Amino acid sequence: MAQELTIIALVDIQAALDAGTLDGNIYLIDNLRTEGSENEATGNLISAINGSHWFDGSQASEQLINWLPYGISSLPPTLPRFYLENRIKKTEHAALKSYQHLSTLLTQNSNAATMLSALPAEAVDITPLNEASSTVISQSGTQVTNDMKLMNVKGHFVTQRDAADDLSSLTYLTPQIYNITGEAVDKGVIYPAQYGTPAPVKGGWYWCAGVNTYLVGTYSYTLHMTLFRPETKGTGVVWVPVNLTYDATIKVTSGAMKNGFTGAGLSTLPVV
Amino acid sequence: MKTITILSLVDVVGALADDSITNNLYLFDNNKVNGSADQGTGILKTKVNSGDRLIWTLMSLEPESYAAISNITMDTEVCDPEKKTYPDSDIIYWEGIVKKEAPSTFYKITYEVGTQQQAIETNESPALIS
Repeated sequence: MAQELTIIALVDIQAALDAGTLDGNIYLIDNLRTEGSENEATGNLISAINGSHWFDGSQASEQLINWLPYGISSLPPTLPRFYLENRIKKTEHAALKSYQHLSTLLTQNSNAATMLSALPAEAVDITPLNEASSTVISQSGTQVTNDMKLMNVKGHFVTQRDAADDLSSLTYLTPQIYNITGEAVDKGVIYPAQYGTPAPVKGGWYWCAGVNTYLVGTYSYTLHMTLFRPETKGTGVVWVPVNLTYDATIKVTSGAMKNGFTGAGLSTLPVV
Repeated sequence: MKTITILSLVDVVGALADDSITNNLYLFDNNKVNGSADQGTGILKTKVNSGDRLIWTLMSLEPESYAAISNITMDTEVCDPEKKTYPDSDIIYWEGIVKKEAPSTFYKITYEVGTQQQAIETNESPALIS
């Protein structure tokens, strides 16, 4: 059975955009440290892919690598996938309820003082929602959406002015991988593609590659990523896509795959 | 005054297997450009100025596994982090304002990892530097 290997690409997005490069602004971490990966949590990670054969000498199955890019300054992926959308809905519901409450007060009681004294507890401030919309554009400059709400790293909606005052407080759009190329692909060591997933981790999409563990050696590959730069245009915020590349490395070794529990081959599991 | 995010990336499976957070914790912040050092280690040094807002967040290396920050202890005269939750969720983050600058303020983070009842504290100490 293929093992699921994860490589997380953490990007200091603001720094990468300012510098115009991912060099020094990206950190790669995988779950293969115990398998021999080197330079964890640096830009020079060498992921160890073991398993060209089993302990008995037979050909091992392929391994699967998943790449998950994130921004350091973002809402953590432990929050639900549709967190922002759900918050918008909830705020709108609360605003409607508040409006309904106000209408009831108006029809039932013409005493303005009573009405106003009831307001602070019930009124919902929807100012951030009204002023928080930003626009996302494509490489060609066409508009993808104009209704992307701005949120800070604490999960609060922020107005465009607040965002512009302190860009470091803003949750940046998650970096996207849009291609994986390079030596490892050209030589048929990895077969990367974008896949859909029902798991609420990466917005339903992630990049994955099968590794041909028969081809032992060290190979480079290139991650093609899109970062989004928030720019103030007129009274609005526009997310401008910026494409950058980064070279990473995998090392396929002839070490046999082994059971993480027993340290032995995969054929036997521990007897409890 | 800036907002600085300090992200704990926890290898939950590794931490449970080793019963230790050492070597299974990678700390990052988004202030390297201003002088933060030791990114991707357990001894991250975050460059701060008085008035900066610090946000401690967390993610697991395996997205399905559970980890959370259960405590942060440091010299409260420098910064007194508080536990917060994201609105409409039970996901935790910690927030603190830098009250004054000090050359090196070491601190400890305690993590809840997996289903383990006992929280695990860092052996190594990250720090705020100025």
